[in-house]
Amino acid sequence: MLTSRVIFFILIPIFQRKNSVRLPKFDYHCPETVREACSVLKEHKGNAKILAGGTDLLVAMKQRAKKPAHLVSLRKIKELKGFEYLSGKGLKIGPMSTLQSVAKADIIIKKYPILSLAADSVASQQIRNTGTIGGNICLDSRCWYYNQTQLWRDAKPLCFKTKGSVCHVIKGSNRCNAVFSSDTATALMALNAKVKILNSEGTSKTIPLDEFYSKTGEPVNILKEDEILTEILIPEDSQDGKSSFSRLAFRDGIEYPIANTAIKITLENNKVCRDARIVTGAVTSFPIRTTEAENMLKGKKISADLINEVAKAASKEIKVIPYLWASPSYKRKMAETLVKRGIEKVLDFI
Amino acid sequence: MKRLIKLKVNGDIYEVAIEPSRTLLEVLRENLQYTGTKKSCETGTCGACTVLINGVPVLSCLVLAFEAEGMDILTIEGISEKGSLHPIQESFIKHGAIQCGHCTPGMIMLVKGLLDKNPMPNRDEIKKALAGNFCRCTGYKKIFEAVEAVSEGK
Repeated sequence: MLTSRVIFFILIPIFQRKNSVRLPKFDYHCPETVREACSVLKEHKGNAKILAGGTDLLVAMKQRAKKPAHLVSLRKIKELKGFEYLSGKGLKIGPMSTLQSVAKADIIIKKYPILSLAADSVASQQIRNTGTIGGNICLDSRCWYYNQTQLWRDAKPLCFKTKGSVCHVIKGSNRCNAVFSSDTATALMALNAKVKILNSEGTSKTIPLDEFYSKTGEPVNILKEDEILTEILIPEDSQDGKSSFSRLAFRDGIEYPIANTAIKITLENNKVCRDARIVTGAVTSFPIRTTEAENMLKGKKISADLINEVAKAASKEIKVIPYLWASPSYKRKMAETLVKRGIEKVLDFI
Repeated sequence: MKRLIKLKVNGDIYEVAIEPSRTLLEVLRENLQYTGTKKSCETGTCGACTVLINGVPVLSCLVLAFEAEGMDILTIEGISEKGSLHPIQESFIKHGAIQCGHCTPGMIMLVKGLLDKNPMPNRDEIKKALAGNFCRCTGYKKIFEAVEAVSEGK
């Protein structure tokens, strides 16, 4: 009788508490300017994280994959929200704009439709209503050994993401092989977007999105501990030509992509390709622009044979990392198909 | 460190002293006893904890209570008027779109958010909107029928 009471009233609550999905303790900061946010980040160097929408970070924290002592919420910073179109310069997007607002904004649907499609394909409506485009660009890479509960992670030696020195995805690899699965980053890269970064000293720099990713696995991007992404700029001339966004996932709703491609092609009057950008995302730890495949299109009339060749070249040029049931060879094949269909879709529009 | 915040839930303002690490779901259920909002996966994949914040459906398990300060929070308890059920609730009952009922509050809140913006959604729009809400008992056919019926005013 007594033992059963001990089990019911003492042991079960303790067991439940240990396994519950509550957030670990942290201090919450809610600054009103970007400079203030940067200085809070600097003050708690390495121990603070930026909270934008939180749909990815809070899950990682619940699983104890990330344990920052301080969270810096950006929700009160007005300058990080909204869209501004400057004719001659392009569209400025505040990184704290929710994915749903990006997907439904008239100006984006009209001028940069692939960004709207990409934003609309992320997770579920509820998550798009909370998650931000800045968060989607700065998304952490994912891996089925890392995005697990503490208990699962503890069963294996520390990997590169947990400051260890082995990779469980590709045995013997000397870098992290987690997949970067953002949809909007792929579309933004095809649109030649730039990002503005501000640090705690108050100096800012604007770099092409392509250079924002470290391409070395972990860390995923070049954002330093005291830096914040303050602006996304899509140049005016990215409106030229036609574009398409394609995405493959195990199911349509609320799933990370196996691969996604964004393609933008500009034709001259005589239907000769003047410019092309082909970007494939979610296949490795950064979105890849396949310049060799792009060059095959430039200056040529696009035929069915050429499309096949370009798609093959693009699938050879990309790097691939397996993710769950999607093996590298399957991913390459699917990337080829996505590029092929993507170019066909673009030509349909013209 | 605990801090006092004001939360506006279903039109009433509550003052709660909470840790920053508490999610809106935990505060709604444990501090304010709004247990109609269900706790399920807690990692953003099931949609059972959907509430409306400023009229927009969000997952209360992935929103810190601190982040919802000063916003209009609407839970399943707040949608019935003067003791009578909301037309969406009536429609769910009428079409048998409920089995165990655990996913229903989340579904109804999402459908309310959808119909407030788009009163006549087609089947594809309903499917797309409901993609983040899981029903583990059975299929979604009756749920779609219930939503279609209420949008057509039946």
